[in-house]
Amino acid sequence: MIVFEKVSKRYRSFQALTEVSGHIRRGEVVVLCGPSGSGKSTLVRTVNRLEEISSGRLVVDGVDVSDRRVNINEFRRGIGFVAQQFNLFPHLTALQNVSIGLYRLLKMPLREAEALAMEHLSRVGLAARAHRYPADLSGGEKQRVAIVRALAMNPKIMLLDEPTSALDPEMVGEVLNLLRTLAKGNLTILCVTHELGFAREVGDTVWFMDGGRLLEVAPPDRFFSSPQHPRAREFVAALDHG
Amino acid sequence: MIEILQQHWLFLLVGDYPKGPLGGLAMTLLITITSMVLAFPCAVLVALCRTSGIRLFVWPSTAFVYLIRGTPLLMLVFWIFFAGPVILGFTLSAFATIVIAIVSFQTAYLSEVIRGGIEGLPKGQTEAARALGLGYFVTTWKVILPQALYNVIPGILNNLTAIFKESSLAYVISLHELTFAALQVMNFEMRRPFQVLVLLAAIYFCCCFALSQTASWLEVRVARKRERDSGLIQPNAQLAQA
Amino acid sequence: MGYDLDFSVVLSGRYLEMLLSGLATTMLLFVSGWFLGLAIALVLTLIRATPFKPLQWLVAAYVEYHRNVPLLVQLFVWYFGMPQLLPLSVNRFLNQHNAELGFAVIAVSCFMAAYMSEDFRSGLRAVPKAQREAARAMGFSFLQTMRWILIPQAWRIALPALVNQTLHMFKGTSLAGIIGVVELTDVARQIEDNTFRVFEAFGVVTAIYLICTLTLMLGGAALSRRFQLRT
Ligand SMILES: Nc1ncnc2c1ncn2[C@@H]1O[C@H](COP(=O)(O)OP(=O)(O)O)[C@@H](O)[C@H]1O
Ligand SMILES: [Mg+2]
Repeated sequence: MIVFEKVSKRYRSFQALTEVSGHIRRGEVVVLCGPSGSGKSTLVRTVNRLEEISSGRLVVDGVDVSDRRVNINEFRRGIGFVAQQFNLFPHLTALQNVSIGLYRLLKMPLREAEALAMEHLSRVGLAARAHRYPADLSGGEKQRVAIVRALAMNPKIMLLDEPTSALDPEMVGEVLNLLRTLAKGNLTILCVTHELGFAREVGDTVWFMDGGRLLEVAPPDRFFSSPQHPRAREFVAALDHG
Repeated sequence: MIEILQQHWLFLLVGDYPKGPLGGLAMTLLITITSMVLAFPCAVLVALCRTSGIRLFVWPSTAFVYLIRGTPLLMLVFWIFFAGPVILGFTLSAFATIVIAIVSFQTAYLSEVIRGGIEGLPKGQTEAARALGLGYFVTTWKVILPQALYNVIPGILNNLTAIFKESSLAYVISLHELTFAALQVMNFEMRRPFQVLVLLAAIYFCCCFALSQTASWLEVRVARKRERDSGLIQPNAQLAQA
Repeated sequence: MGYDLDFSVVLSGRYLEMLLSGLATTMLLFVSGWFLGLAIALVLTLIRATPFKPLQWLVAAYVEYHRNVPLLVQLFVWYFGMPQLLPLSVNRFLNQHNAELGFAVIAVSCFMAAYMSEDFRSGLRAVPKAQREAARAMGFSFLQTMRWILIPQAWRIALPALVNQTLHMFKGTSLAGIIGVVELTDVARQIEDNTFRVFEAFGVVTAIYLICTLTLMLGGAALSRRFQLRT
C-alpha cells in the first residue's frame, strides 16, 4: 500500500531523512517510534506530500507521490491525517468540522453531510458535543473530533502523528480506545506513538527511526523485548525506565 | 519640486522666524512635543483611575474616555476655540487652543494604551508586591508603572506619530504650522499646487514614517525582552520569600 | 456666566434643515467611503497575496502614504492638487457637480482602504499555519482553503481592528468641511456664525456625533464578541 524506496529529505543543509526504505501492506498497522527529532513527523508527512521528498521514490496506493501529474487534492482526500495539536477549525462547530469535507470536497448535499457527520460523532460518543465549538471541548474530545473528521472522508490510509502526546493523562485512554477500534478495521495505519501498551496490542509492526534513518523493523513483541540495533536498545531501555 | 524647496525651505522650516512668529515644521514639532509632554501624565492618571477598581474613579474616567473617543478632534478644536473664551472670559491663543484640544484627545487614547500595559502585566506582580507589605502607591509607583510603561513604549511612540499628524488641524485656526505654511506657499506658487502639496505630504511622510518604523522596531525588542523576563517573573515565591 | 441656553433656535426652521442635511452629507461620506474603501482594500489585499514583488511594493507604498500623512493633507492633495493634473473640461464638469464632495469621498475611501487592507493582512497572518496545513491535508485546494478555512478566521480576527478603523474614519469625515463640503461640523460652524449660539450649535452637533460613534462602538463591541474566534 505504501512503499518507500530510498526516500531522502533535506531542509537546506539539514538531512532530515536518509534513504528510508520499507513497505506497508494493505490493512497493516505500523507503529513508528524513535527519539524526538529523529524524523518521524517528516516521514509521516511525506506520505501525503505535506513534505516533498528530495530523492527516492514513494508510492502510495499505486500512485507515485512525487508525480506532478497527480491531482494532489484528490489524492489527499484518500489519506486521513491527524496531528498532535488536533488543529480543528475554530470557527466551525464539531459537527461542521466533520461535515465540511463531505460538503465542500465530496460535494454531498449539506443535510446528508451533516447526518453522516452526526453518525460518525455518535459512534465515538460525541453526539452531545456536536454543536459545540472546539474551544468548548476537552483535549480528548478535540482529538476524537479530529480523528472523526479524517475518518468521515472514508480514507484508505490514516496517518497519525503522536495523537495522544498533547493530551492530559486522563484523556489518553479515550483516544486510544478509539484508535483500537480503528486498528481492528481494514484501514492501513501509520501511527507515531510512544504508548508502549498500545503499540504492543494493536501494532502489526514497529518501525524504529533515529537520525533520519529507519534502523529497525520488527513485530512489537520482539522489538520491545529484544531490540537488535544498539540505538533501539537504548531507546527501549529508556522507555522502560520512563 | 526641488525648485520650490530651494525657494521656500526656510519658510517651511521655521516660518517667518526670527523676523516674525515661529511657524512651519518647527511649530508643528513644538505642538507635538508640548502636547505629548502634557498628555502623558494626564493619561497615566486616567489609566490608574480606570484600573483602580474604585467606582468613584472608574466611572468618570471611563465616561471621559468614551466621550472623547466619540468626538472628532476638529469638533474639540472648535469647542475650545469658540466656547473657550466664553467660559474663561479671555481669548486663548491658537497655540493654546490646539494644544488643549490634542492633549484632551490624546489623554483618552494614550490612557487606553497605558491601561492595556497595566492590565497586561501578570497578576502575580501586584500580589507579590502586596504580599511583601507594600502599599498601593508604592506598588503602583515602583512595581507596576515602570513595567507597564516600558511595555507600552512602542504604543506611546505610535501616539506621538498620531499627534504629529493631528497637529495639522491647527491650520483651521490659522496657526502658522507646517500645513499652514505649505498652503501659503501654494498660494504663492499658484500654477503648481500639486507639487507643493506633494512636498508637504513628503515632509509629513518622512517624519511619521521614521517614527512609526522606530515604533515597530521597538515593539520587536520589547516583545523579546518580555519573553526573556517571563521566565524570571513566574516564580513569585522568590519575591515573596525575599 | 450670564448665558441662557436655548436650543429652540438651533432645533427649528432653517437651522434644523441645515443640521439634517449636514447629517445626511456626513452619512453619505461615511457610507460611500466605507464601502468603496472595503472594495479597494479587498483588491489591495489580493494584490499583496500574489508573489509579484513590484506590485507588493506598490501596495505597501500606498498603505504607508495613507498611514503617515495627515488625512487633512490627503484631502488637500485631492482637492487642490488633482485639478492641476486634469484637463480643463473635466475640471469644468467637476466644478459644476460638487467637486468637494466627490474628492472627499475619494480621499476618505482611499484612506479607509489603506488601513482596512492592513487589518486584513494581519488577520490572515494571525491564522496559525497549522490551520492551512490541516485543510490542505484534507484535500482542500489553495483557493478552497482560502475561502472556507483561512478567510472566515481572518476576518473574525480582524474585526475589532476594523471596528476601530470604522470609528476613526467616521470622525475623519469631519475634515471634509475644511475643503468646503457642507457636512455636520461645517454646519455647526455656520450656525454658530449666524446665531452666535456657541453652546447650542456645537452641543447639538457633538451630541449627534456621539450618538453615532457610541452606537458604532457598542455595536462593534457586540459584533466582535459575537464573532470572536476562541481557540
Ligand atoms: N521545516 C524544517 N526546516 C528545517 N529543519 C526541519 C524542518 N522540519 C523539521 N526539521 C528538522 O528535521 C528533524 C526531524 O524533525 P521531525 O520529523 O519533526 O522529528 P520527530 O517528529 O521525530 O521529532 C528535526 O531535527 C527538525 O529540526
Ligand atoms: Mg514529531
